[in-house]
Amino acid sequence: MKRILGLTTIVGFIVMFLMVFLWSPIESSMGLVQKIMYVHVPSAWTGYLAVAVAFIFSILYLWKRIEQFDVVASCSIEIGAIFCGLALITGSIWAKPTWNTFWTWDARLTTTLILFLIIMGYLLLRRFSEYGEKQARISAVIAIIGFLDIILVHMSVVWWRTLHQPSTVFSEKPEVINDQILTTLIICVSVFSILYAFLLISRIELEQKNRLFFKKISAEGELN
Amino acid sequence: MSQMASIELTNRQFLLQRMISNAWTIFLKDLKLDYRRVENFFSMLFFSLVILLVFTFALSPEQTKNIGILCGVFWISFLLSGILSLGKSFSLERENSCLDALLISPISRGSIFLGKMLANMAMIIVVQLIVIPIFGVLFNGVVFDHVAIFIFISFMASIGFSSLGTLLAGMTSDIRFKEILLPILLFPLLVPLLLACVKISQSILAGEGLSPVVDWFRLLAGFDLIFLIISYLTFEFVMEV
Amino acid sequence: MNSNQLNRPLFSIRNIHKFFGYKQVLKGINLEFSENQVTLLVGKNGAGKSTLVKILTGLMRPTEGNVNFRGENIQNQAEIYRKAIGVITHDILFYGDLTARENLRFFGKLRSIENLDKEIQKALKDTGLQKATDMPVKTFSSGMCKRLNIARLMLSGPKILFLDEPYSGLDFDSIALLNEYIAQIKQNGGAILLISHQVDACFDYIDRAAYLINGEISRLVPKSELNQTDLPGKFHVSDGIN
Repeated sequence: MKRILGLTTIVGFIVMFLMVFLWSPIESSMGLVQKIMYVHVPSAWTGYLAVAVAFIFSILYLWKRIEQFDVVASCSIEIGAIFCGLALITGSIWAKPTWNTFWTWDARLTTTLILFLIIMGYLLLRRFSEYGEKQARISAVIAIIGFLDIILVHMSVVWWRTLHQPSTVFSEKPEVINDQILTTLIICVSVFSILYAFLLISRIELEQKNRLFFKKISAEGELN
Repeated sequence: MSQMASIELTNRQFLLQRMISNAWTIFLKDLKLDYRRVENFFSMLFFSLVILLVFTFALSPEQTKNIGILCGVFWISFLLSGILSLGKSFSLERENSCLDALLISPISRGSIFLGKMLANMAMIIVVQLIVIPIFGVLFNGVVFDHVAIFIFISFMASIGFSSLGTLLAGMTSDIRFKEILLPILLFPLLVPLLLACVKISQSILAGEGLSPVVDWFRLLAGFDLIFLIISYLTFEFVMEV
Repeated sequence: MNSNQLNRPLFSIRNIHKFFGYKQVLKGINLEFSENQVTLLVGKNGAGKSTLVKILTGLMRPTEGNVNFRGENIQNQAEIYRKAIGVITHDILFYGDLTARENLRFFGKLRSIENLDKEIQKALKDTGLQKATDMPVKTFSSGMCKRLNIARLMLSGPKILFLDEPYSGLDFDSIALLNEYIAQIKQNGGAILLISHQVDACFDYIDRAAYLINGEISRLVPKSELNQTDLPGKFHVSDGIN
């Protein structure tokens, strides 16, 4: 499974590069820099996907108390942190040449930043608590609350930026999308999703090996 | 068939009544403890005022006349002093392992949550009752005309704040660095609440009243309701040792 | 009541495993407790005795296995089970800033006890704490705290008692009071699990001793085969390997 995903990812990335640089048109107003969108949007999408997966597995964990579910949830959040961070960085890189500033309080970027902070809180919580059933339980609760909260955060941030909004240079990302750009974008999002699945499975395998190793050591330590 | 259903209903009503009465008992007990350790209340109050004062000196006089900035300062002080209440709420239970005593009692975890959440709300509101008029005085009487509305918004804010806060405080009560972890976890989650409160208070201070910000009000109420219910439901998972 | 119910254990532990992180503390505990029975739990410090008691009181969930009360899992009847149990541990379990009376009123209300104030007065009298009725618990000695705990138990009338080092810090009168109370519970059909190093204080009324070694119950010895010298103080590590 992992090998198939790995190979598909590599092939996918090759296709992606070809499409992004050779096939899709250069956007009129923003120029070459606009191509960063092909990394920025899929990263953000994958970040949210990762948190959604963690949300589902956290609920499953609280319901069934199977350790596997906690492994999936926490690994997914870790990977989500990476994609979320990537989305923020590429967002900055895009913003600088386009609007002459590294950061804009645009609704989607802001929501992604808050999501990133919630993820960091989750990871810190796991670091500060000892491995065990309690750690799994409280992380699951945070994941569930965080996911539900982000929905409200998104709503409120969108209102914040659009209602009673004084005119600003930083408008929402221009939705100048023609068919070719859209197709390329969809391909990129799919490739990133497959990458996410590959990373998730790898990370889960690693975590399981880790836990098995420590369990073995502890058991052997007991016998001495 | 309907007899079974009505027995089921009275059973549920009975459980609900018990839950509310237990929550009330715990609420009163927490208030009594706060009254005996009144230094907790005063530390919250003075911390709130100290923050307002620090902002007065950190900002220039023109800035402190700006309504947007004033509202921001007010709600920052609300959040920071609220955290104090949350921390104290569980540390006094941990002291003599009283939390264990509560958990062994034949009461639902939900009633413990409700009782503590209401006690936190009460502390926050009482502090705000004193801070709001003082805030009005410090910043040129601009708030004075609207004390009642501000108290009402503080009340609404304290519901959501207390719900999530009590849940998270219970969660972190026996973890290292809990004083730092609690704000790190809580504040990002409270962004919708913060935005709504700031927007509403800005509109009020600008003399526009509540009608332009009805949507924010609905968001605030929705936030309160959703997280009150979810915190109540997930509290038991947080309370196992 | 048919004979089946008479023979059924009051509560039982089935295959309890408990992991703390990677460390396994309890490895498959099976034990049954009947009415009118006092069980002494014996084991070295850190053997897992307190952990077992925490699982039995419902504070912790076992990693595997369950605890049954009257045949049903305690998770499914949490409030009924908690109404039936009582605990004395080395923790104080009272609010230091509240008085003895206020503490008892608080916990009594949570248990919906009738005629609460009268019962409180009686309990405080029976445990010799009348004079301290309106004094804050933070001024109490540890012996007084334990006696207040007994007073709380008197209010709730538990069927099952879990006692984790109940005698530490008690003077002779308090020990006698506790023993009297334990005898009363036992006589009324209760089951008691006791952890104690003070063997002379409790030897007379224990019915059996369970040895908790390396996370397992290695031996279960009935009173008839028990010698006072077998118990803590003369405890041999070699017992576990046989």
